[in-house]
Amino acid sequence: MARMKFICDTERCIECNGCVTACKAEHDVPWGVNRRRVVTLNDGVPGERSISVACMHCSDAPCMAVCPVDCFYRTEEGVVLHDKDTCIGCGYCSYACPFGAPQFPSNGAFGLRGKMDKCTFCAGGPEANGSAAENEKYGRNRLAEGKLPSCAEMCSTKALLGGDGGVVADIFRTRVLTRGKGSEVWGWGTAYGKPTAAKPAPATRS
Amino acid sequence: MNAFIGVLVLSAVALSLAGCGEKPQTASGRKSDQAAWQGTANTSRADTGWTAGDRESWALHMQKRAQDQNEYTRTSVPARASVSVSASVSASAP
Repeated sequence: MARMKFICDTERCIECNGCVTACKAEHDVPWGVNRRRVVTLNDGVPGERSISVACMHCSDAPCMAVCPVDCFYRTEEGVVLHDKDTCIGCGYCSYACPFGAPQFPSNGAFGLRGKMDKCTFCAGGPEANGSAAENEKYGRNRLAEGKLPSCAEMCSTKALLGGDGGVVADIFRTRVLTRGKGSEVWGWGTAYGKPTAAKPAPATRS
Repeated sequence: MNAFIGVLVLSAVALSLAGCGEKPQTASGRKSDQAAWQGTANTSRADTGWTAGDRESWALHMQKRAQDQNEYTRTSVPARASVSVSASVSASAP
C-alpha cells in the first residue's frame, strides 16, 4: 500500500507561497491558521533557501505519542489525522511537533484556543468521505477523489512533491542525478554562465 | 409522623431522580475512518480512471498521478539519470 509523503526541493522553491494559498483556498482554512507555510533560511545572504513546511505525516509521530485524549490516528496510506470531536485543544501536540504543524485558531476577544487544526494531506477526517461534516471540520478529501494534495499539485516549479513515498523519492532522485550538484544545478549555467577558473589574486604591495 | 414519612419519600424520590440529569462522561474514543480508496460521496469532483472501492485501481491511479509531477516524463527533456522511472513504478505497484 502507498505510504504518502511530501518532499520539498529547496533548489526549486522560489518562495511564491502558491502552496500556502492553494491549501488555504482548498480547505477554507480560517484566519490565523496556516496548515502550510514557507520558511526561508539565510534570508538575504548568498545561498538562501526556502522550504515549504507542513505536517510531515511522521511514521512515528510525536504528536500521537503525547496526545492525552488519543485523538490521532494513522490511515493505511500513512497519513496522520486527528479527530476534532475528541481533541481538547490542550496544545501538547504543538510542543511535541518539530515542524510546528499543529495550529490553533486564536480568534475571539480573549485569544480563544480552539481545536487543533493541521495538514490532512488532503485526506479529510474520520467523517464519511466527501461529506459536508468532513468538509466543514477538515476541508476537502482529495485522496478519496483520486487526487493528490492541492499544495503539491499547485506548485509551479514542482519543488513540492507529494504522493506515494516511493514515487516522489524516485522523481527527486532522477532530478538530482540529472541536474547535478553545485554549479551544475539546472538553471545556474543559464543565469550566470559556465563556471570558469578562478582569477589569480591581485598582487599586494609590501 | 405522616408528614415526616412524606418528606422522607419525597427526598428519596428527588435523590433517585437526581441521576437522570447526568450526562455520560465516558470518552467516545476514536472513530474509524473510511479508507480513501473507497471513494467519496462528492463524485462530481472525483477524478476518473479508477474504480471507487477497488484498492488496487486507486493505488495505481495515485502512482500515475504522482508521476505527473515528474517533468522528465512529461517533456522531451531526457533525464541523464540511470534510474528508470517507469520500471520503478511498476515495481512498487501493489
